[in-house]
Amino acid sequence: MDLAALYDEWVSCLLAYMISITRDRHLAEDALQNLFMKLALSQPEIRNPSVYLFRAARREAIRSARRRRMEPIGPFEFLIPAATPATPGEIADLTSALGSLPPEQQEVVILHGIEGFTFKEAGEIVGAPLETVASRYRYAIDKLRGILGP
Amino acid sequence: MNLEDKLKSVRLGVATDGLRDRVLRATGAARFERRVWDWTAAAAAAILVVAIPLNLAPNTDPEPGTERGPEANLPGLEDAVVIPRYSVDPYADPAQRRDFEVPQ
Repeated sequence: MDLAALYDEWVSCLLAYMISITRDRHLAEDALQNLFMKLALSQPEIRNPSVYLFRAARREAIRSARRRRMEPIGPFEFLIPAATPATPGEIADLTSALGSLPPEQQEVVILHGIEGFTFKEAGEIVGAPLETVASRYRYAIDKLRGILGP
Repeated sequence: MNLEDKLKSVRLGVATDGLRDRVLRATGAARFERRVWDWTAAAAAAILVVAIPLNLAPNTDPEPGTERGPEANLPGLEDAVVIPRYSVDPYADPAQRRDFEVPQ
């Protein structure tokens, strides 16, 4: 397993995800370092790197936040333009609309709607059944349509 | 642009300047530390594997002909008289007990 390549490919979105969970950049950076140290020591066989890394990052970030007695998760506000880029104004509107959702719905929108995970994969990451994840997403999309339009 | 397209026009991301060296250095150090522990454990196991069959542990059995064990053969202790502590009860002797009487 090439840790450096894994790091280069995933660090930006993993760190953003972890900051959203811990609500503290320094704490998230420490948690990210712990995550990679554990990967270096355990050398796991990773079949699906994106799901594995997001799930491990979530667990590590929540553990760090709880150690500081913080209530983890949300808001998810670290959005950057993708391949078909949004304008800064659109990103700001989307970030603001996302911020109005409950944290568990924000997380599902991030994982499924933005990062492109299937409901099954998103369920594996957050540790919830597929149906729960799908219904959270439906509720979230209805609310977002109400704010942003169709 | 509909909502689904709007969602696909962004992704999670944040600047990570300066973090790469720190993380990769820490993972390298963790691997090195683990390797040192592995070597230490392997060396300790090898020593035990050699030492146990050769019976290299210190012998604490009594010397032949003595009952007090090897420590009795230390120089200067050959004629030592061993008196068990508290084997004599000072209060058993009435003459000594008088010393402790409270004056009237």
